[in-house]
Amino acid sequence: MNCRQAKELIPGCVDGTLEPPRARELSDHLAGCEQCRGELEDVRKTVALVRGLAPVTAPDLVAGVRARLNAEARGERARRPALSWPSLTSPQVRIALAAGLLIVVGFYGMKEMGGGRNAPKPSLQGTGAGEPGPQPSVIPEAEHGKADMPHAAKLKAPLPAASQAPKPAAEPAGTISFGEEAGGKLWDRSESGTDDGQSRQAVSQPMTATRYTRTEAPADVILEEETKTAELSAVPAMPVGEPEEPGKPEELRPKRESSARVQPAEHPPAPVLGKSYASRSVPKKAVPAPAQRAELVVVAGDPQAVLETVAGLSSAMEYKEEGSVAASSAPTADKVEARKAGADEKAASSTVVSVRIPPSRYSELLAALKKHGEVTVMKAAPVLADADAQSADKSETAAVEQAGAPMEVLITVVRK
Amino acid sequence: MAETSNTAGPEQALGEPELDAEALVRRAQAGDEAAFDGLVRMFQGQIFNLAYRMVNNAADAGDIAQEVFVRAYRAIGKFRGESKFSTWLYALASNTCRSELRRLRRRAGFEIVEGGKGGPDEPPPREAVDPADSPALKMERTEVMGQIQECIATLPEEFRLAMVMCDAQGMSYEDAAGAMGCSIGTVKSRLFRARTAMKDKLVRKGLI
Repeated sequence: MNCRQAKELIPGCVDGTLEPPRARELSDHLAGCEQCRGELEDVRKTVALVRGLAPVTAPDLVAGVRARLNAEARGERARRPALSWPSLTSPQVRIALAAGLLIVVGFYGMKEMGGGRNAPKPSLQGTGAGEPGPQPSVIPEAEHGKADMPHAAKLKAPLPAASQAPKPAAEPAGTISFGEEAGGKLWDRSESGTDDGQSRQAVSQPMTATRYTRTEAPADVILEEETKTAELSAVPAMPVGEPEEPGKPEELRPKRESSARVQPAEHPPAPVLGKSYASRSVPKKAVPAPAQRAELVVVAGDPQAVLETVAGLSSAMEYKEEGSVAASSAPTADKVEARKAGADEKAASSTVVSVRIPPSRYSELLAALKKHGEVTVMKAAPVLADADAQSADKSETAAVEQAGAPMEVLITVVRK
Repeated sequence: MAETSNTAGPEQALGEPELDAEALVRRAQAGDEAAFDGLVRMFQGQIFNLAYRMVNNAADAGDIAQEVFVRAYRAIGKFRGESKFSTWLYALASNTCRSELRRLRRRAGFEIVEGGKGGPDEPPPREAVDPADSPALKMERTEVMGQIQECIATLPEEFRLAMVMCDAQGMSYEDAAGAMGCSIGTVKSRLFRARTAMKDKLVRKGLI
């Protein structure tokens, strides 16, 4: 054994843990090597010094440990909601939620479309839930209860609940109305009012799940209640201001922030006409789907007067305090929907009203609006695409009236 | 932090309180908080000393020891008695010390320079800076004990752990291996190399 090998064994020699043969070899080496004996002596002193270290007086940890455990227990309870929110907003969870939503929407959409092939043809002359007579097959049972609900309650209802409304099993009518009678093109998103701008894309899935608009007669009927439910349920999440269009002047666009959430309690006073009808229940009926659409911007000093005028054009309608104008019970009545763009007085500088009218009343509407202020045609009906919207009022009116099918006019009322 | 010889925490042999510890562990596992407090009292000296030898700082050692017992409280339900409770607790302490040492190395104003291989060309170790230390402790560090402690603190982490457990606290190789999560041979190897490195440090300091 040489010195290098001996030095490797010396630290273990201190404990006496060397195997006897190795211990004998080391002992033989140490007997003849003074340097290695000195090394062994130094290691023994080192180990003795370390082993001789006096223990350090420890503080009493019980109180500190107990305090931490108690604090953690309290913090755990207090932190629980806060911890759950970031987890919900984490990208993975958001992706999962979005995927789940798509699956659900797709599932119901497929159910609706697939079920329609086997379902009987719907009755086009259904009566409302509040009306006597046989219940129309086109009205889902699940919607019956909603028909008696105040619309305010619907507005407050969370979006997922609304998107779950058209359950295939409970709503055979839903599958009927969206069946193959639509002529292949089961529904047209351009007519549904959900694709007007990017701002509405976020809610287009839930809406399209419940709002289908037939595009071909004679089966071109929609369930008014379905449409209304879809639109109303989408209101809290959807900016109700006018759809974004690249060419639209910025000052004419309603404030998105103010329209992001509907808060009935903070709305400016609804028109008198609306208040008087606010308590009415909304009957169900089939109404023709709008074939055309126009968008107008009215810059008026008294937006409320404009709203009242628009509401007055219809023979019977309901104006909800939330800002929605429901259809009348008359089968031929216009369907009017209004959504307040503002949640408070200050933000209520613009209001969006959607009016579904027969084309024959378009000119009447236009004339009435012009009495209140400057009317700008932002989007003409398809047949008027090439017309000069600003100046060709007469040709526009005539073309629309010739179309015959009901049309939807989106009116943005901007306070001057 | 005064180094005394009459502390509750035995830095020598372990195993004496194990019989009592087993009963306390069972009660603590059943939800008896007083029993867990008893375990804290029983082992706080050992755990604190281990941490102190590892980080060379009383305040940090107290934090580490407290963290060890908090972790022990959370995990005591998983202790199945396959090893001694002290070994299980030392394993927790070892891991906590390792993570704390990593944190301390990142912390500004606190440097622990490990002794590397302990060769003669090794630069002198820098002291661990602890502004919270009391003047009395600083004076004590000038004494032999303090210098030995500082030499220990400059050993490589795993060497230090082996030396503290086996030499300073008198643990058996088997218990140290269980606490360090390695084999007995690894413990011996680390310990023997730690002794050699420590001897070189003490020689350079003129302590031996």
